[in-house]
Amino acid sequence: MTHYPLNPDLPERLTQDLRALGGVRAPEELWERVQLGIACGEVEQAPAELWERVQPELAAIAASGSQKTPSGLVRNNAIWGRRLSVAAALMILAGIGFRFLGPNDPEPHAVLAGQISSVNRAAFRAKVIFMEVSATELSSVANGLAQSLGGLSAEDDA
Amino acid sequence: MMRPSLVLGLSLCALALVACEPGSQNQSGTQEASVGGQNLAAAVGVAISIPQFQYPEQFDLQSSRELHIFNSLGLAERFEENLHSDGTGQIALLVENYAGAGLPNWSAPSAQLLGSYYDRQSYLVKYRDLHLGSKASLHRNFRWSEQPGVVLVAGINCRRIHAHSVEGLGDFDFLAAVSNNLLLGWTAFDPLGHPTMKLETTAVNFAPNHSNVLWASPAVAEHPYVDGNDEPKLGFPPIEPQYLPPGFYLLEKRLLLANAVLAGLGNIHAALYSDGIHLLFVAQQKIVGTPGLSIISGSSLAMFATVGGIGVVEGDFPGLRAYVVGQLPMEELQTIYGSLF
Repeated sequence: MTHYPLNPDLPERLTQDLRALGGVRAPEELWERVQLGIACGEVEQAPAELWERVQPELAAIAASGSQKTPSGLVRNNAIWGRRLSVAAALMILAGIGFRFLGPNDPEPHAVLAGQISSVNRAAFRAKVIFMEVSATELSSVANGLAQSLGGLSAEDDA
Repeated sequence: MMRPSLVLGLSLCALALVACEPGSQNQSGTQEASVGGQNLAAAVGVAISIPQFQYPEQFDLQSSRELHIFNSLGLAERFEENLHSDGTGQIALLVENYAGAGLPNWSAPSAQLLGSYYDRQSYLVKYRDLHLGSKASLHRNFRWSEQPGVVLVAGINCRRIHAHSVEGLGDFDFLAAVSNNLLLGWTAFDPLGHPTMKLETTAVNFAPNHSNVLWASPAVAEHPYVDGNDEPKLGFPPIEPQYLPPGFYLLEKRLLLANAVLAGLGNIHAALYSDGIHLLFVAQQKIVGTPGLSIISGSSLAMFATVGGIGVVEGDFPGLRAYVVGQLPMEELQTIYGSLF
């Protein structure tokens, strides 16, 4: 597999699986999409586009009783079988990104906030004494920001 | 006979293929759970992939719209709006009529309301009107479904699409034209499923006359905030919140040059965060003199209120004032505020 600098946050098993692919060249977008998928914390479907690339070779192998090696990528059937499994697993993982990355994505590199414990959330709130007031007691800047998000009430909510 | 590993590989690929077709609908009739029982679109929808909308400001049009802002009693103030857009970025959004909460009759808007619209029309279109954000966030934070059939909105057949917030921050309903995905209406719900804001187009003219339209211009000059360059204009290094609700991301940072409007007023650093649909402002501004709210016993004081359905937390730190503003549960806004220091 083409060498890319491995992200230290990648699970050890995935790192090993990537390295085990040896000379197989993965699609270039695989790397960033695996990273994005992990960042999102979800595992979903494989990409149709990647499937289309792999499917003809898989079909040929299945039809031939798996005696052929596909287009000179690997020479050992046992290794090939293992690599197919790894590739299939990677496809599922990588599929996360294919679904929502597209030409119309306004923020393709958005880094999403993760979960935080309720204890830590409570600790943040405990640093402040919050007082409820009427909207008219807020500053003009605060009111202006709220109005920019649609808080245009002509009546006082408080 | 195929080896087990090959069988496994093919099986995994086949499983993966089932759901990966771009834009395909799940025809299994998966039903979304409703939130709070009032969110009817959620109850009968068929799961779909993330939709793509077009927005009125992308078209050369004039449209009449009705905005509803619901109070805690479920009664709505109504605002009749007139939107002009030339499709190249120029817009004008004015309020033409107003009805108080629960009142059936329209009346002329007050001068104050007219001014609020006039000053903020570009923000209302950009920030209040719903837009879909990053696909990663839309994928992580929402489950999408569509009700069967179409409804007529301003004489246009529309799909009814529901976005269920997986973090329980409030769902959304969308009405989008079948023919071109033009977004013609939406409803925002609170976490309990009660509507908080609703906008629906009542008429659209795709051959508009803009001859007497005064296009919107920002009331305060602003530009994207550039780290390292703009700090002197701000007067302090902006603070980043240590906490954001799960799935939120930084959309943009802007510098509002308030000082150019009123001498003595500090410029404002406004960071805009999104979960793909909900928006959140975290703003900061240098203050001169004594803070409005003191710091006592190691705890800060902050005020909070709701302004037309939008939550606001405001308080002072030594030398600066911070604002957290958004259509989110107040507890979330307070947690974000508390994470600023």
